Amino acid sequence: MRRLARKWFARSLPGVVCLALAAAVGCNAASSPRPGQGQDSGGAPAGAAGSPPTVPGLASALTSPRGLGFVGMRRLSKDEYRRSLSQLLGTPAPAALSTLPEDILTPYDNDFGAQVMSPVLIAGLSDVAREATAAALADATSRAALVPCTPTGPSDTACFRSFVERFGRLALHRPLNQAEVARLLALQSFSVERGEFYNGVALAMRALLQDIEFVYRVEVGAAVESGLVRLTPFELASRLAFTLLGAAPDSALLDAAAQGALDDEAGVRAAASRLLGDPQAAERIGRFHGLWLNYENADVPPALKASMRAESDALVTRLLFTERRPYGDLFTSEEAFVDANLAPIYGLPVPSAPSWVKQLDPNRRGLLGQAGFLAGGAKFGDTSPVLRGLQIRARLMCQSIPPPPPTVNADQPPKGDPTECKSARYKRHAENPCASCHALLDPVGNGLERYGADGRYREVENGRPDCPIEGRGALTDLGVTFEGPAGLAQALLPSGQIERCVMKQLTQFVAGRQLSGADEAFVESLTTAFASEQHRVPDLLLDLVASPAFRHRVIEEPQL
Amino acid sequence: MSRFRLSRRALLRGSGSVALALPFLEIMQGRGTAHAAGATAPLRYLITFAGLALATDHTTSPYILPTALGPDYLSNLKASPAGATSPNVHALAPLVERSLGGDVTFVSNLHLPRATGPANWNTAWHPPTMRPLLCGKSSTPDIVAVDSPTSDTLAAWLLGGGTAFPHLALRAQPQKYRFSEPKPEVGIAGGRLSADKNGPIEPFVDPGQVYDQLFGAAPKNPADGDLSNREERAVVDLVLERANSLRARLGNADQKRLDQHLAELREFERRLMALGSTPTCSPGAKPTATFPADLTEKSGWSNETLRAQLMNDLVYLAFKCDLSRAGSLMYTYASSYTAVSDILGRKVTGDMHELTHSAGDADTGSDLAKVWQWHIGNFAYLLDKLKGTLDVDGTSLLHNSMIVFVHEAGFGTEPGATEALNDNFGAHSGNNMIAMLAGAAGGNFKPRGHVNAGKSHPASALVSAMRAVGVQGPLGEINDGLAQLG
Repeated sequence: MRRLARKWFARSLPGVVCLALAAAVGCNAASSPRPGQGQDSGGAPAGAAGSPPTVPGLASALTSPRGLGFVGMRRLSKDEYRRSLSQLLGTPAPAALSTLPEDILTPYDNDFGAQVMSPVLIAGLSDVAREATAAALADATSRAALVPCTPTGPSDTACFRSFVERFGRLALHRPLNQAEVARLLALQSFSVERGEFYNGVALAMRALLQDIEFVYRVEVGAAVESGLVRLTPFELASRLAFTLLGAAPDSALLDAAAQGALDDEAGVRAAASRLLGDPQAAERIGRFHGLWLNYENADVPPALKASMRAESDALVTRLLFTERRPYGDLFTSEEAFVDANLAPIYGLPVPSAPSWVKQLDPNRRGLLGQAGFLAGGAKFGDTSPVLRGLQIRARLMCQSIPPPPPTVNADQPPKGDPTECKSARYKRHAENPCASCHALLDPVGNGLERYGADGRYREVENGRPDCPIEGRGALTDLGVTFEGPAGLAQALLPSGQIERCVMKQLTQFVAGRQLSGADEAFVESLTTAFASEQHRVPDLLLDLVASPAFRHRVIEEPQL
Repeated sequence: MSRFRLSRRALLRGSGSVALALPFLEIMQGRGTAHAAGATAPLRYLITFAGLALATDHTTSPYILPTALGPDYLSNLKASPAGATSPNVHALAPLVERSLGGDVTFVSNLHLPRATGPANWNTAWHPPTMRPLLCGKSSTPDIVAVDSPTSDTLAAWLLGGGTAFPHLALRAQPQKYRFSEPKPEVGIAGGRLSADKNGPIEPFVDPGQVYDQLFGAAPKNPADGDLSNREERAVVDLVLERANSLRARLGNADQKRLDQHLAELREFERRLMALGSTPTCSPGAKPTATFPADLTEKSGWSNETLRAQLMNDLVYLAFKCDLSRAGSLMYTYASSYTAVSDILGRKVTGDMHELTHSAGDADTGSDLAKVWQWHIGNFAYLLDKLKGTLDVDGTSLLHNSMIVFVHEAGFGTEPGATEALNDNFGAHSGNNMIAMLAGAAGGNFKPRGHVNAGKSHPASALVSAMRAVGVQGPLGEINDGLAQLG
């Protein structure tokens, strides 16, 4: 009987883990410090250090050259490397990309503090460069694009030079100086030795695809004052492209940098506006949301995951970029982007092709009502109200929730009486030492309980018609109750917590590091700017990239 | 009893959707000798790992542990009962089938203490045992990863000088299939078995890539002479040269990051220069298996059976060709969510981790024994290859090696802990752990069969192993080897 009970638990019961967050650690919903609590990272006032004037109304940290805080040299994430490679070579991503080590998600994939070097990385970069180069030169069209001249023979130096100068500029995001060109031209000796012009071309390409300035984001800048540099125009072009598109700058952006068009705020805005019209801009913001809200890693079958991801990305693209609607609409949208995989989950007719349809369920709205987000809170085959509560509070509200103490195993299927309803087991959390934290987490998850592990609506617990689901939740610290994703969004949006939290997350994503109290002023100024722009993401991004904070770099640890 | 040899047909049959080119490595060839006779044989050291508990919650391990002590510990192994869901198995059967009992010292009753004493574990699962087990240092809620020298990197420092890969870190399970840990970096820590003074070492997971690193990636045309090699070096030289020129323009923190990259790049170049210097050692053809290309798809299974065999083959080749003398091989992650259907031979919902928590038919012991048998079968396969190859001194590669097998967790209650705590942790126990030490370290180590360690720390078994190959000094906070091993 005991064995059967355990099996039943493991297969059927939800992941109700006694997340015994001890009262001893003090489990109060700890929001980020409010403005003024953190150390102001701003140093020089707006316009100092030679920075140009900026638009009126932007808050101070955004206009301070030191506002963004330190930014370290960081390796491209796998996603950034893949995009940059495809853009440069015009060919599909090579299979060898899979041999590169996985990025460590904290939750973003670009945290330079988490990046480690390894033989695997070096070997992977070499393999990728070799495979990508061979594929690009084997294809007549891409080869002609990479080497526009027609070589007269293996020793055609003029043609080789034109290739090196053009390709090197795109790979390193700046023109090569003559010494650099000469060094690459030396590889043409291998063309001569093999009697094949493109042999030296391939070697030059391979070297550049493994170059530190291609693999990393390197910003040396021009010294302004101790520990502060102003980005060169080409470095700014690179920062713009990686921030907005997640890829290296294209030729047009490098042209703009060369022509001085990025030397003033208007020019930066113009260039950034063009980039924001690139589909990759919406994809970048979509990826940011996927990492932030954890639906990038939903543990569902690949086909369903692709459908979920397509819906979430479509919502971000349509609302934030195509229709330029206020950010809050992302959580109140009444439409779903469904295909054959998602329609049954939402109880909607299966469309002939992926399309937008109105959700029939009034409690299912926006990003929080999407199957992708809801699937991120599953555990042991069912929903976990604790996990969902944790995701809402830690990710969406940026609250600090401590981990369970070492004496509690949050990684084990629930134990207890298998005949008991899940809701009854959860109610017991209020009776044990875990109560203080569960009081914050469980009510949030309970409000989403009518949406199962894959987001499907239900009114009783899985396989338990005798266990109805109430589906009512609460944000106890805000003093509000809610039902379903729509209710949760309605409860949260007026508080402004989502807007401020997303600005905090965006700061972390842009800086590529963990934040500290010193970053609070910048987050606050970004939040203010967001409000000034009626919470329109493209406009906020323009304010960000055109700001003095974005155009400068604080050196993490200057040379003595 | 016939000795195992993988045929091309068997390999193809087991490869499922995996595409293979033929012929394939030396596993399909006969046994060979490592080198010409006459030289002193080098010692080798390898640590292998299974991310698995020794029993399910609230059970013991009748089909995994031997009952007899001493050299005849593999006699009278009792297979799981007829009618169990999995076929009748005992986890140690591969050692019997390959006649390895005399080569393997099986150490049981090891105890990794919780919260007290040297190298204890004191944090939420998973993987709290990695640091105390492998570094000999305590884990804390903030530090669970291996982050200081492990026994294999200490051995590499002593043994590996002059070889292409002084240390070779490999993992058969290519990716973490699911994250249940509070922080992703904690889950990633479960996939790193080795560390040196600079921190954890990322293992290779692609067999083809390891082959290229050991034997060269560039197509070989005898008519080229050394041209291919010069081309490869020209590329790396240029990357290094340019990185060095950049360095002076960076701040200190960025310089440190760049220096780590440069150090790895120089090692890469050094290996490149060494390629072709082992003409007497033929590796056979490169494995061209194509695995699921998109490792971000969390299917739970990437043909780990074949991957483990390939990684075993590569370790064997690296040792045989003296390209490496020390390293690590993880068969599975700590807290492995690897699916078990392919191993069990039937469709099962769940994975290795959930199996230990009483999903599936684990209570009978038969399924867990089968999964353990899979791990020990991989270990035995490697030992068998090493044993079957003559070393330069006329003994076997295994005789001149110390091949260690350790695992993630034991079973049973934690002495002194409350009933509630013991109930909570179940299979998550530092009690009743095992280690296997195979080989004789060139005669420095005497195999002793099944040894009861009397609740000694499992890292002390590693100290015994590394001392056998000449590494002196402690492993973190663990100073002594097991007295029972002499």
